Amino acid sequence: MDKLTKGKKGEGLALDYLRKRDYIILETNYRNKIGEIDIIAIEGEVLVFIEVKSRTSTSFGRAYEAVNFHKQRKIINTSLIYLRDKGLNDFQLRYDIIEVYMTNRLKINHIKDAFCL
Amino acid sequence: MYSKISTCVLQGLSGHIVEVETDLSRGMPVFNIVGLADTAIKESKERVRSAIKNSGYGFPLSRITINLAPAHLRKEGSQMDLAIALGILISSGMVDYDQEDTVFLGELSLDGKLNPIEGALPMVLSLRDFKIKRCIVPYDNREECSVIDDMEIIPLRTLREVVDYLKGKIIIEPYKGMGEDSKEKKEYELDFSDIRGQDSLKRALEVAAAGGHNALILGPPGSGKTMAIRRLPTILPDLSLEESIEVTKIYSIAGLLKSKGLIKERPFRSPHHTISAVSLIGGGRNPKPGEVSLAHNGVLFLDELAEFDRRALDSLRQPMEDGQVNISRIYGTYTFPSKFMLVAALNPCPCGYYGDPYHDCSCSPRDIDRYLNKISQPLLDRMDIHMEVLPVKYQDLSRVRKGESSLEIKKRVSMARQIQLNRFKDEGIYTNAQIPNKLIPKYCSLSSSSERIMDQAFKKYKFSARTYHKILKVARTIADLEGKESIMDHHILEAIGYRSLRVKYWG
Repeated sequence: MDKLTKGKKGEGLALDYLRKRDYIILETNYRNKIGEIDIIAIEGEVLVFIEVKSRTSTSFGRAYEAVNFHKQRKIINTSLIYLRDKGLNDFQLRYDIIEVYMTNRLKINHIKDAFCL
Repeated sequence: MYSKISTCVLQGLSGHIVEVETDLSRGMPVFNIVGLADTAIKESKERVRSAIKNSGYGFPLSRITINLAPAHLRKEGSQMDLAIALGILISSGMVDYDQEDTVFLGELSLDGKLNPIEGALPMVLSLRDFKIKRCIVPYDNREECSVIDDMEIIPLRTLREVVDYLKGKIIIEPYKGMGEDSKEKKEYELDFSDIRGQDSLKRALEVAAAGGHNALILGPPGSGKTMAIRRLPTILPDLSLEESIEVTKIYSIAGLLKSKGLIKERPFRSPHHTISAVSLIGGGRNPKPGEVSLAHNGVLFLDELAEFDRRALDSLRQPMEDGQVNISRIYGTYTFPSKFMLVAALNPCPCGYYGDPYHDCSCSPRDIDRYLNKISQPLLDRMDIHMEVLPVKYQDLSRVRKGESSLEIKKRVSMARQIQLNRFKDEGIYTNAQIPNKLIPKYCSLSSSSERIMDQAFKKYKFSARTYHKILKVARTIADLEGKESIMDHHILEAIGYRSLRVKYWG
């Protein structure tokens, strides 16, 4: 299994997980000139930007550690462009991380409000 | 989504009410504090976030803007944590609160506990002047705040308790203090009866203590200067309530309040001679009181006076005269009180034995001059009592009979102080040393024979106008020690005796 398919599989699992919990999915793999956001969804009244990280083992650190400060800024800046393009002004925002561990046992870990400006 | 509650900041010794306005709006989750806040307040963000979470409330996911009004006033100190945290809880609808007569003070720890703050007493005192009815303070600050009886002091331990109190879930009675039982007598390890001989030194210190006079003690090493002055606190009269509040306020903002209630003993400060002018007078970017203010209503003891930096010594002149220091810094001009009694000890020359009948002095006249000239004439002028001590004789040292105990001396001193307090009831001063020049004729009038003595002494010693006033004040104190209404000849003679040393060494 190469890296790309592994990532795709992880994102699919995360989408299933969110749908089961009444998230309305707006975009997947949203891209603009600054960067990419894996999932954009709405939970209740909150607009959520989600970064999905997949791992097949924890020997090289936890998944959320890969979302460092630089990556966070990139996601935030990308999301701001998204908001401007779509004209979404009056929404409460939130930034989440979903970790998907595809080891012997499948494990999904959802970190809500993982970072902010 | 908007809320407003009050807290307090200090500028010097005076407090100002600060409104903490909180607004929650939708958007990027950020937490901003505006309104000239210093680092301790900017850092409160992280304390507030953790404290709210760990007290079992949700930290709201929204754009949080805190405004500290008035915006022109510089704010410092961690006492705003509680108001900021409550503002967030009220704005997010977790607490209902819309009264305006309560002020919140307290620093938060990460687990939501209220930590004690610096300067609680001066803050509460100035809040009373603003007609604030109720004040919430950290539990550990309750004793120092309890001196105020016309304001509700609510001591609370945690953020959760504050919320429950506002919701009316718990009822806390205003704290009234421990009452009078905290009046236990302080036991000193030192006592004047430890000193053998040196009766004139003991007498001089007694006069100085009775009138709050400055004293300069000069003598060879080992003659008991430091030993005697270290015992000075044991004969000083107790602090009155007003004096005690003044002292506690200063120690509170300096963060030096170790016992939790009011300070009951007169301060005795003895800084090392390497002290700088700034730490002596007070200062810093946000000015803090210096040693002269920490010695307010007490004693500032400078041992080895000639070793002090000359600049530091001369900076003492103004605070001694005015009874207060004005410190101007970039953040404002602060005034701290500095009514202290200066007691200094020094050797007569670098080797220490000049004028000693038993040892030879090895200093050249030039050395001696240079050594003594470190103490400027204006400073000498401000010392009311000059005293030379000689080495203790063997007969005195081996004598079995003990001298007078501190308790007996203190009794006389307290009596003389009481006379002064009654006399100056309406003048706003406490001691003879503080008599302003225009009141000297009223309280220190001389008989014609005393006038003649003064006239002769003036011709002999060439006194200055200030010295003249100092002599009258000291004579007044000596008369008070005897309980005499008017100043008599032997009072004035003793007072002149305390000024004759200057001619010998600085003539």
